[in-house]
Amino acid sequence: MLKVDGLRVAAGELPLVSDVSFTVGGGERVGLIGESGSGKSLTASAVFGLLPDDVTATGSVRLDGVREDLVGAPESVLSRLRGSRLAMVFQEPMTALNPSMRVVDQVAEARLVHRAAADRAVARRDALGLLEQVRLRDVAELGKAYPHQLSGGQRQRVLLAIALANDPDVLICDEPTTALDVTVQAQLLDLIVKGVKERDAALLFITHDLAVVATVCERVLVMYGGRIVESGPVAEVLTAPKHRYTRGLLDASDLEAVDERGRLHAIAGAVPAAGQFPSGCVFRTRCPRADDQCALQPPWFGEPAHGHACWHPAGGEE
Amino acid sequence: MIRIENLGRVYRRSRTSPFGPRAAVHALRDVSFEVEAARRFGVVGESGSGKSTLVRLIAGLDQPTSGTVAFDGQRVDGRPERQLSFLRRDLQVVFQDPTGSLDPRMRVRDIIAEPLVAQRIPGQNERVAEVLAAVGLPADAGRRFPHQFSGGQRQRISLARALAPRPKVLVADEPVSALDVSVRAQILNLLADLVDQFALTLVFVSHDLSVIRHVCDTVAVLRSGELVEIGDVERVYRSPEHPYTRQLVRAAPTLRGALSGVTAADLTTQ
Repeated sequence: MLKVDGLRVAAGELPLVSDVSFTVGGGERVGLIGESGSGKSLTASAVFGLLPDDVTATGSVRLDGVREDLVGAPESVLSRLRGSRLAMVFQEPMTALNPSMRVVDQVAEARLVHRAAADRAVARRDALGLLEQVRLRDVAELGKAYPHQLSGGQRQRVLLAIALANDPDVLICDEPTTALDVTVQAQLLDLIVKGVKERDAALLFITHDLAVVATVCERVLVMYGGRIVESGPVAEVLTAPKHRYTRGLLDASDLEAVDERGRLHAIAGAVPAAGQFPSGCVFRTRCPRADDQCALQPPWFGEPAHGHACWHPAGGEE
Repeated sequence: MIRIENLGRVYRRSRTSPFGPRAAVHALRDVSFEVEAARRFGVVGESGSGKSTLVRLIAGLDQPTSGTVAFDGQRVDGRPERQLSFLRRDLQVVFQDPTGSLDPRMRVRDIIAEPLVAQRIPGQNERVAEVLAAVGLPADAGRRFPHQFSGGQRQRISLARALAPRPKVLVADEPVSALDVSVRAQILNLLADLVDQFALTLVFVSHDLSVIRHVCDTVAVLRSGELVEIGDVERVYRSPEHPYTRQLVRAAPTLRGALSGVTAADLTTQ
């Protein structure tokens, strides 16, 4: 459904995302995980055609049934696709919603601009139905509210209702639950999974939380330093990772696995700033296994949908 | 070490109409507990649970509307700032956002020395060097400014400042929530090292029960300003008694759970 090939995003000469290739099929739920600065949100923005002015993308992003490549496509093509076939839920609902418009009208607008509803009255009726689908209570009253009158969880539900308004083929969620309490997060994750299942839509779910990605997705892409370093089924990548970064991330996040002194298995150093990543393997400056070979860019080992880019994969000699 | 009795804090909202009453928000209601010396005491709660209000009251940064806070046998509430010097020396706070709690115009050595200056403690240069080493920062870090450090290093600076006056109690309010996973482990390990090394009593506030379970031995669960459960952290995590604690444990996704088949729908069931 969505096919990204050789995507490169750069700010002038500074590469921010390099060689990113992946596909997401209809009905498939794929996670994109990484820490801040890994390039995961930029990848989503590039797919969505929403990069800042001074940042450019090259490579290819194809959507089934669309003749044009989304990279470099004119705004007229992109704005026709955005919100209809391609939808997105952002992390910060307060900036994604219009503060001076009642929420029911914002959902109705999504139906109207893509001419999915014949007139304002029909669109409004559709909007109330969509707000009910995301389990908001008393939608007739709640729809009249402005975004600032809602809680964070309610706003994120409204955003999901807008994203699902035109039954998209591809839904991208960028850290949709990061700012939410765990009990609210659980409900929203459930709604996202149900929403894409009902529509047989492709889901690209961006998060830094390994437990969340394992709960929501079937397949996972691990990003670090603007590159995909490992990919594969969740059950395999998150139990027997190959790339040393994935291994380190799993160990560092496991609060139950401690050494003899009761300490966690931390990764040394910090994520470098954009443009400060080393040449060759992007993780080699923090990797306990790095040697001279790692100064060369590792090739992709394995299948496109299940493989890694590490010269010294974990799980071999241990 | 810290004794809290029937603590309450009511905030008054601003009027919504010129003649209407001012709505009252009960940020904290009738909360009582005691933190013994050398405990690692966790406070868990979601947004609006009152955990930040609790931190402010314990640290003497706000006054309760009812109840009392005592530190080491001395009342904290109702005292003017000039009578709180015992608290300012013996209790230090580390906040969630290291960027917001470090003055961007001050050099790191001056930030760390500030509690020493405020309390007129001599030997500032030596002490700054000591705590920089203790938190794993290079000695020349003192000459630089906060923006020259990563998020994890800034949290190390916050810890160094907190340790400088040799406190007995460290209050950490969501100290790792803003950090990346790979850095979070470093800071949690450092915190554990410092608590051991300096025999600190720790009050650790977080929305994440699994982090509290790793760090603390005791946990208090807050919900909408009320204490709903308190006890040994392992007991609370494994067999929570209050329905809200059960919900909190259930709703938090875990990697182990997800890999053994727990779905998003399962997290929402009560």
